[in-house]
Amino acid sequence: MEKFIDHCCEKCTHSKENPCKDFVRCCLEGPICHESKACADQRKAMVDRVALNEKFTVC
Amino acid sequence: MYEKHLMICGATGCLSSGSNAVEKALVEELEKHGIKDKYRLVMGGCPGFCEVGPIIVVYPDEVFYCRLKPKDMTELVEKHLVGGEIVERLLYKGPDVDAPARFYDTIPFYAKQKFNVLRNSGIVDPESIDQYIMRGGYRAFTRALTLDPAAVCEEVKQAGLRGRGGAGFSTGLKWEFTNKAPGNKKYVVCNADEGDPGAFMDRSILEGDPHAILEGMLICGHAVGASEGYIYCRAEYPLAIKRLRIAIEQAEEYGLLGENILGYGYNFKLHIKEGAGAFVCGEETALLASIEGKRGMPRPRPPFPAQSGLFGKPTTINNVETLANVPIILKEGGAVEFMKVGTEGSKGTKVFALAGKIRNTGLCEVPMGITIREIIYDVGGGIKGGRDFKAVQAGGPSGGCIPAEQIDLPIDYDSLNEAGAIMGSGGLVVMDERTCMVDLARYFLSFTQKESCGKCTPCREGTKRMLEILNRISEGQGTPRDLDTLDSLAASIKDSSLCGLGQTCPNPVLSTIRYFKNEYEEHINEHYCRAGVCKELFNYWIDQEKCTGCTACVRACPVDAIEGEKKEPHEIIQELCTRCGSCIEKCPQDCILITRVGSEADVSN
Amino acid sequence: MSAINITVDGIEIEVESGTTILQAARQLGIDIPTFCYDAELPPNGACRICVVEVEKARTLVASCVAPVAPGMVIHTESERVVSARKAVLTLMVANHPLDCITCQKTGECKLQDYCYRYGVADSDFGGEVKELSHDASNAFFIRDMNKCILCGVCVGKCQDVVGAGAIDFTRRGFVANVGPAYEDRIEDSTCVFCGLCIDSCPVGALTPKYLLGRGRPWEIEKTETICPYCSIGCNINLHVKDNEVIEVTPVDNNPVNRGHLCVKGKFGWDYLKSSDRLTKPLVKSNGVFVEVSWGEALGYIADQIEEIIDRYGSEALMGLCSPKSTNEESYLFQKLIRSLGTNNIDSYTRHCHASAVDGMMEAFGSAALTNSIEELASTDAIFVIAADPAESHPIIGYRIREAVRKGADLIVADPELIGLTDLAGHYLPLKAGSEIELVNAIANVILEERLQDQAFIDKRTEGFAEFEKAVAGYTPQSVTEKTGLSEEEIREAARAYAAAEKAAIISTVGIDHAAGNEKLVLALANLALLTGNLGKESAGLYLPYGENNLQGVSDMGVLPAVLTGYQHLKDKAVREKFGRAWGIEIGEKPGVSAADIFEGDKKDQVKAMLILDENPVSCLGGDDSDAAALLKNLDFLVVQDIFMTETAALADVVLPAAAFAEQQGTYTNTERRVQLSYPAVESPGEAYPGWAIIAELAGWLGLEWDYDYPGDIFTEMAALTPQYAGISYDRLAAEGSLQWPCPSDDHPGTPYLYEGRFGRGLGLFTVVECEPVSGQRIGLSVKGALSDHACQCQSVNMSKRSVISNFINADRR
Repeated sequence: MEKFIDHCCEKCTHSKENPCKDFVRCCLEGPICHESKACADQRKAMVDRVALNEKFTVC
Repeated sequence: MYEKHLMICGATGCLSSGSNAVEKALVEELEKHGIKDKYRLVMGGCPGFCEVGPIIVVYPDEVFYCRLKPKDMTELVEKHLVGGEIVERLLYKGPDVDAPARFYDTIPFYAKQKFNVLRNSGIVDPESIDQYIMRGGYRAFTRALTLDPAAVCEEVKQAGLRGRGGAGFSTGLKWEFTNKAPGNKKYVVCNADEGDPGAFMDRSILEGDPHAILEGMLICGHAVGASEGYIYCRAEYPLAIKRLRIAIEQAEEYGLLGENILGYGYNFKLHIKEGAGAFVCGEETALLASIEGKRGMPRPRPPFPAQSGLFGKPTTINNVETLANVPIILKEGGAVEFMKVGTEGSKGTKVFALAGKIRNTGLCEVPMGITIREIIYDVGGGIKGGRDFKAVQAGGPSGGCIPAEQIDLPIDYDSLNEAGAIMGSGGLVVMDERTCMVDLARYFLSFTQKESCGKCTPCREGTKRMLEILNRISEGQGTPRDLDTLDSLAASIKDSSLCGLGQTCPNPVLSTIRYFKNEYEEHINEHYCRAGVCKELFNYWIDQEKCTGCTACVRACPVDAIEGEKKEPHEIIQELCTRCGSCIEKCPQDCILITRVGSEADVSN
Repeated sequence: MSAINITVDGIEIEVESGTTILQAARQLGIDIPTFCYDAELPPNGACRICVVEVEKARTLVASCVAPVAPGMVIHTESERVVSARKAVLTLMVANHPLDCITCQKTGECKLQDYCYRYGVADSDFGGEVKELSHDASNAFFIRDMNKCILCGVCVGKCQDVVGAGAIDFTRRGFVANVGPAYEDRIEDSTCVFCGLCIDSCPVGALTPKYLLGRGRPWEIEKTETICPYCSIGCNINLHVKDNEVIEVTPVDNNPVNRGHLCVKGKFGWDYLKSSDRLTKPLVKSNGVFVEVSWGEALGYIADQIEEIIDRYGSEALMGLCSPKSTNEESYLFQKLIRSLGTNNIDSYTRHCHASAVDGMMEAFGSAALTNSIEELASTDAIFVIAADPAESHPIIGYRIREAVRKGADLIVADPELIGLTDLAGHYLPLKAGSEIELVNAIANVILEERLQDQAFIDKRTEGFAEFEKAVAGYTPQSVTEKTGLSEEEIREAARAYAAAEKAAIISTVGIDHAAGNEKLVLALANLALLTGNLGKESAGLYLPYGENNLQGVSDMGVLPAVLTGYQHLKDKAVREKFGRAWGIEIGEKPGVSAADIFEGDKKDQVKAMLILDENPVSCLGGDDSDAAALLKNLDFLVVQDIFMTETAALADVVLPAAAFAEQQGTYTNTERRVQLSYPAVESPGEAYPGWAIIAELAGWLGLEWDYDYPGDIFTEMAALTPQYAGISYDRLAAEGSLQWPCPSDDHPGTPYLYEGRFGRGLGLFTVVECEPVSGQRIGLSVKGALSDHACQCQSVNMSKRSVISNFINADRR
């Protein structure tokens, strides 16, 4: 995943043509629609890449 | 992946202090070392402390470098980035700290500030939607989509958010009017035509955190039932426009703008309309006319925009800062947090642009209810040059001045209105004894006269006549009747003008007459400007007893109007003196005084 | 609309919700001063003179824009209000030239009036005063923007009512000004010199050049009369001093033009004083005209006519009338010719409207505009095809604009980008000549999508079945090539027209009576029948005529086959009725028409012609044309006119006539409205009104007529003409105007036709096969001669000798 809009795996479906209600929450807490350690790791790595330090969180 | 993020302030203040050159030098230096790819450089939002710009903040190290020059970049790169050591020389230093301060938490300027609206400014890359989401962006919007539109209006109303554009009307109530208006097609408009001279609060939000505005508009659109929105941004803010365009593109890509947003069946489309250089287009009906492609002139109300606005459809118009507050309120538990700050009648924070004779100029965001004293001395660092505080002008060309006697006045909508001033967009011009109140009124009035659209007689003709009177007074041609004429003209203009510009433009004149009538009388009756501003109405005079004969002023004078040998008291040749003030700036003894014309012995005060 | 109770100056009044404070005050007779208020423009609220005090309101309130609210208490002249008004006036005066002594507006200037009322003599600000140069470049009026108070009414008229958009506010603040874009001169802008800005300016900023220094308002006599240029028949005030017209202004409250004019009516009257005016009767002797007395001229004419009749018979005589003549004059003229034993009477420009007339006769059974001009402003859709109404009939253009402003859909089908295309929701740039294909295709779409008004078709029409079959072949796809339009464009236009509650069609087709033009009229009639857009208000078929009294002259029986009111010669009872009334015998055989003579094969039949105010030489090709040759070959030619035209130059006798402003008479405009016109000035020299000349000539020819004034003629005519039976001079003077049919004294007149039945009973669908339609359109345009002179030659004659000449007779846009 390079950007939050990218999919973590083929179960992830969000796009502007086919939106997912949990998209925003999933960016920081995902995956929500399914369980997968691989996806969770992917998403955590994505978050770390964007965040600058542990203070760069939800404000 | 980047090792560090370097946030270079690219906002108004730092740009004019040369942050472009600093950035260029930084890039060159990084390339010289071949390490440019390791660091993310963001020319970004405003950290607020314009006085000490240019500023670079380094993350995740949390180091605040300021007063930077291009040649400092060598040390910054070599010592800090490569060497891993903080460059103390470049940290914040001032009379209010014992040791160089490393970050926001130790810099006194920031001590009393609370970042709601500026929460992301200077921290996120404004061109990154991911960083905005990381900071919790679009969660408030997602929550709002699960609520009934009327419930969203109610939440905003209960939270007590008042319009930050100046009028201070209840935002939630305004949304409710549009929500209740009949019709299928409605609009949301963001008024980003920040026109007050010296104001750049909205600019910083737009340039530093554009997604906050998008989110605010999306929530508003859902609350009122609008499917289309316009951001009316003044063309003098090209960077803001660019960042908004990028933000809109990104939001569309992410499915946060467009059709069936997030699957909730909500459609919203956003356009940007650039202004064309007219202050009057900040007035909401003139703004709507401008979006419709017509000449920006206000229209009579009723009908009000909530009933019949853009293209005749129900429309809500909100200011940038107001919209930036909306996601804070709508997020989970946000309203309660929001209401903890501020006063009973004025909840939340306000961004102010501190300007004038104050040590710490720049943007600050403070809780409503903070006193003028705290703003000037705690946030602002006190009056520059150690002079006395005289007054503060609040609300720009529509506002009034608050004199030093009222220094403990809390800053909120209602207190300011009672004192004869207005909150306005948040411009605070601080004045010391060297500010002439007549000249101040004249300055603001000449602005509004130029910007008057010309539609209605009182504003178009009346401001011109008031200005002519003020000009005459400041040239020593005033008559005692002039004050009565100013009073009655001002009253007529206020009472019969068509729009807010006309109705408020006499305020600077009225409030300066109210609190500083003696200055007007001195100008008129004694031809004397005690502040040393109106050039026909004062002389400079060197105090012969305090002068040490250092010749600093002699050398500074551009027209050789000062005579004096070393160690001898100097003297000004009045016939040659142009009263430019260069000598006063240089005098180390502070012994150059302002006197009435032609009377050396009659020293002021 | 609910009622609201308010109190104004202590008086309680109940008004409808939505009423403004100003309107409420006016209902009570309270005069609140206004500069920028105009009833037909959206609320402005600019000048601030109309401010009033409303209890509990924070500031003073502009009464022209503020709607009343229940329980409102209003003070219109409180101290606070008076103080504010004085301030506004003082501020205006401070920036205004105080040359009232010589200002043309003195006596009619609102600024002067209000300063007088509130005691504002001067201002003592002593500051800057505007010093802009005057714009006096154009031929019509002077713009002195130093006197402008920026009320904005002229801008509103120009942008919203007329649509010329020549002026707007420019710059800002103290230097704000009203003027053309880029501060061009007005004559380089899109101004059409309609004069609405001049008429609505409350101060002396805009002054007609002709008027400057000619007289004060209290020295001028105003007479209401009817403009002679086109078939709208605008009501105008002629301002006269010393027997000279020095200004024309529109009449405000009338259903025809309500305060509007175009450049022709506003400025095109100075030909009245042209030195070219004929002043004495002329007889040609040895190829040269010699002035003679009336007795000599008329005696000579009578002798010659009697000789021609003796030698060749009555059929050798022909009368040619102009569509500019009054009803009285033309009625007498055809009575004269018929009294001399022939039905050879026609008006030449029946020729160009023949397509319209014949088409409507066939489809509906009578030929006149089906609805009124005023109704256009309230319709829901307008379809303009083969017409440029904003140019040829500017008043219609203004109404179309008003309708669109109120939400109507405008469909324009034209090969050129006429001005109205700016407003059009649907613009169809069809190829010239393919109009019938388009109209049939529209009918096809309407039927295919079942948008027709079947109830109307079943009850009120016949011929539908054949029409439906014929039109089935005209699918949108099948005409895309011929018309150059896409299927979608045609469909959308069809839907827009058919889906509207009320829709109107406007066309001015037909210079040449080419078969195609009449067929287009029939095809358009089909559309109106198909959608039930006849017999109700704000719908209908508008084919407005060119010349001002074409309708009236035709109504008066100036046609070879019918008498007044189109009563046919074939009908024995009709001939007997007229015969009894006139004391003569009327022949059954129709006379020859102008077309028969000038273009057909009957030219050798006529030996003598009487031509009234008409100029066939100019219409039909000039001095070297066949028409000129024919006229030269006549044994005897009499021409009555106001100028020595090309045709008059060929005559044996020329009689000087009075112009429109110099005689009383009635005109019938294109919406069947009979209007009475009054004389304002005396004719020059020995020129006489046409009716008097004919009556006098009749005496010389042995006919015993007795008319004291035109009203007598009208009374006689009305008694013989069912459509006019209820109209009289008394009624016209009292009620302003009446639209026929008006069959009885208490009938109010008929704004729109066919409410109950069509002229022929049921409306007729006709199968129309395609023929190319000639693209030329009718009317003397506002800018550029739209009709290439062919059917407005007399209007051109007038305009050529007027200050409007350069503007109007310039090259086609």
